[in-house]
Amino acid sequence: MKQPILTVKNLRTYFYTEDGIVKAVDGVDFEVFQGETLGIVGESGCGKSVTSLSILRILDEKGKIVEGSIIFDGNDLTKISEESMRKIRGKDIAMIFQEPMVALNPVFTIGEQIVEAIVLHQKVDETTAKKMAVDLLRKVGIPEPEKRINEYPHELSGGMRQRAMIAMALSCKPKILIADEPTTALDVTIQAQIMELMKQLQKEYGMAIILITHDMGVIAENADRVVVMYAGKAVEYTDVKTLFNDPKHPYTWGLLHAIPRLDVEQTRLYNIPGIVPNPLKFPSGCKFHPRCEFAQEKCSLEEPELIEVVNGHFVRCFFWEKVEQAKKKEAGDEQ
Amino acid sequence: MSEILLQVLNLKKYFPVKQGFFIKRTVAEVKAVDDVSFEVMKGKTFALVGESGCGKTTAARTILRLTDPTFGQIFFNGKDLSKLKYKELLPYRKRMQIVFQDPMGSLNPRMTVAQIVTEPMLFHGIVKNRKEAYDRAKTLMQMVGLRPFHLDRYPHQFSGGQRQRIAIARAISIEPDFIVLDEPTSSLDVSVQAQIVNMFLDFQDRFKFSYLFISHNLSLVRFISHTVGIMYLGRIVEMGDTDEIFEEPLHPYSKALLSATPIPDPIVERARKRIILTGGVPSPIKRPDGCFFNPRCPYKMDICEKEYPELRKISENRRVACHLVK
Repeated sequence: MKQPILTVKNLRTYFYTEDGIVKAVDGVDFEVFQGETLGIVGESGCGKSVTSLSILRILDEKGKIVEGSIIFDGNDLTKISEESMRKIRGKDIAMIFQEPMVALNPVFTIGEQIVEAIVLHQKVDETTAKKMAVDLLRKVGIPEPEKRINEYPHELSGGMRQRAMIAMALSCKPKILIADEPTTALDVTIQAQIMELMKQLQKEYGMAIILITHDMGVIAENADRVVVMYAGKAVEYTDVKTLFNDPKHPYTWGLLHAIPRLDVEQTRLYNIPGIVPNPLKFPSGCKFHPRCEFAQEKCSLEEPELIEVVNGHFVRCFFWEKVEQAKKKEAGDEQ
Repeated sequence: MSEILLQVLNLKKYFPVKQGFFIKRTVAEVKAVDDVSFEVMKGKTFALVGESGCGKTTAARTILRLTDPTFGQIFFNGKDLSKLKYKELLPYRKRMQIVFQDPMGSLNPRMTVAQIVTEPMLFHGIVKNRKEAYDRAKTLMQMVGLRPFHLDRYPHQFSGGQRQRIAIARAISIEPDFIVLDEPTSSLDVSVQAQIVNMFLDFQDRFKFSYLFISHNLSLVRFISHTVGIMYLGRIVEMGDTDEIFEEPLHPYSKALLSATPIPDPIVERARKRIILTGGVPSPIKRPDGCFFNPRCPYKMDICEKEYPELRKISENRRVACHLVK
C-alpha cells in the first residue's frame, strides 16, 4: 500500500469578516500520492482555492485554519512554526497561480525572481543559480532562455509568463506542485501546451500535482483522483473514471449534465436550479439541498457526513442511491 | 430552406496604430476584421469562434454599427446598413440587440432594473406610456426567471447570473429579430451557464430569434449554433454546418482548436490523439506572410508562406481557406 505524501483531514478554514464568519472551507478530506494528480473541482466560492492557500498557510489575516490537520512528511502543517513552514513553502510544496501577471513581481526580471528562489532554498551561488534558471526556462519551452531571463514579466505573453512561473515553481524540485486554475486565463491552444508541459515535467520530476479548476474537461484530461467541492465541503471523492462514469452525489451528477460536450449532439443541458449560496448565509442541513432534485425533509435538518459508499468512493449525501435510480432511468431513456 | 436575415459581405475593420508626440502618424494598422463574409438565417444561430484577438467581437460590434466598418456591406433583411446615418439606422436598431459578456459593465449602476428594462421600449416607442412599459417589464422578468419585485432593485444587488438575466430581459424587451450574444456566459459558473443557455434556446423556439453567438468555448458553440465560422487573425478560416465541422474539421487550425478542447469524459479524452500547436497567436500588427497560420501549422507547404489561401467552397455546406484542402 502506497503512503500518501500529503493527508488533509477535516480541514476547516474560516474567515472572520465584519459581516460575519465565512466558512470558506468547512470539511475537506483528501490524500495526495507521489507522482499523481489530484483534482479539486467546483464552482466559484466553493473553497477550492482557500484549500490550497491553507495547505501553504498563505491565507490573509482574516482567515484561520480552525480545525483539521494537514500532514506532510510526518508533520502537521497547521501546527508547525512559521519558520519551518517557510522552509517547506516554495521548496517542498510550490504553487502556480491563475494570473501569472499578478503572481510575478513586475519590477524584477524573470531571471532575478527564479534565482532568488533557488538561492533561498539551495546552497548555490548566484552564477550557478543563474545557469540553473536558464536551464529551467529552456525546459519549460521558453525560446532563447539566455535572452528571456533578462526580460520583465510584461514583456512575455500570457502563455510564456505561465511557463516562467512553472519554471520558478520547479526550481527547487518540489514534491508537490499546487496549480490553481493554471490555464483559465489562457486560450485553449495555449492551455493544451501548458497542460502537456505539466504532465511531461510531472513524469520527469515524479512530483504530485494538486490541480484546482472549475473545468470538468481539464479534470477529465489530467486528474487521477478528484475531490468535488460545494459550499466549502468535499461532497464527492474518488478516482477520475468512477467520478465521470458513476457519479453518486446529486451535485456532481447535475454538474456533469450541465456542461455541453464537444463530441456529441445535445438538445438540452441539465438545469441545476438556483445559484451557489452566499457563504455568509449557508442553508441548514446539506448545503446543496435547496438546489437538489432528490432532496427530502431530512436534508434540510441534518448535515450528511462524507462516507465511503463503495470501496474508495466517498459521497456526502443521505440519498445517493436516488441518483443511481435516475441514472438507470436515463440509461433506459436512451435505449 | 430558411431565409437569410443578415448578410455580411467583405466586412473590414481596421484600427490605425499611431505614433509620434506632436504629429501623430499612422504607422501601422490592426486589421481586426479583414474581409469577413457570412450569413445569419432567420430563426437560426451563427457562431463566430476563435481565440482572443481573432476579431470575433469587433466583427459583431461593426455589424451593429457600434463602430463603423472600414469597408464592406451589412445587409439586414436586404437593406445595407453599412452606410446609413444615425437617424436612418434607428428603425433597424430596434430590431437588433446585444447581450454583452460582462453584465456589470453593461448595466448602468445608477438605474433600477425597471429603468434598465423599460428604457429601450420607451425609446423605440413600443409602448404608449411608462405604465404600460412597467407592466411589460413585469412579464419580461418572469420570462427570464426573475420576479416582478426585482424591478425596483439595482444591478449590484444581483448575482452575475441574475444580472445576465436582466441584460437578456432588456435585449428581448423590444422584440428584436436579431440578437448578438457576445460571450454571454463566459463569466458565469457552469451550472448557471446551463440555465442561461437553455433560456436562449427556449426564446429562439418561441420568438424565432436569430442569434450571432460569439464565443471561444467550442463545446458551447457546438451545443448552441447551427452554422459556425472559425476565425484566426481577422479572417474566417473555415465555415459551415456546425455538426459537420465538429465531426470532421478540415482546416488545420480548426483541427487543432477542437483537439485542444478537453472532453469531460476521462475515457474518451485519454484515448484522443491530440494536436499540440507550437507557439502563440502572432501579433495582429505583423501578421505572417502567406497564410497567417503557417508558422504554427503542422502541415505547412512552400506555397503557404507566399500566398494567403482563398476561402473556397468545397462542398454544399463548407468553406475552407487552406492550400491543402481542395
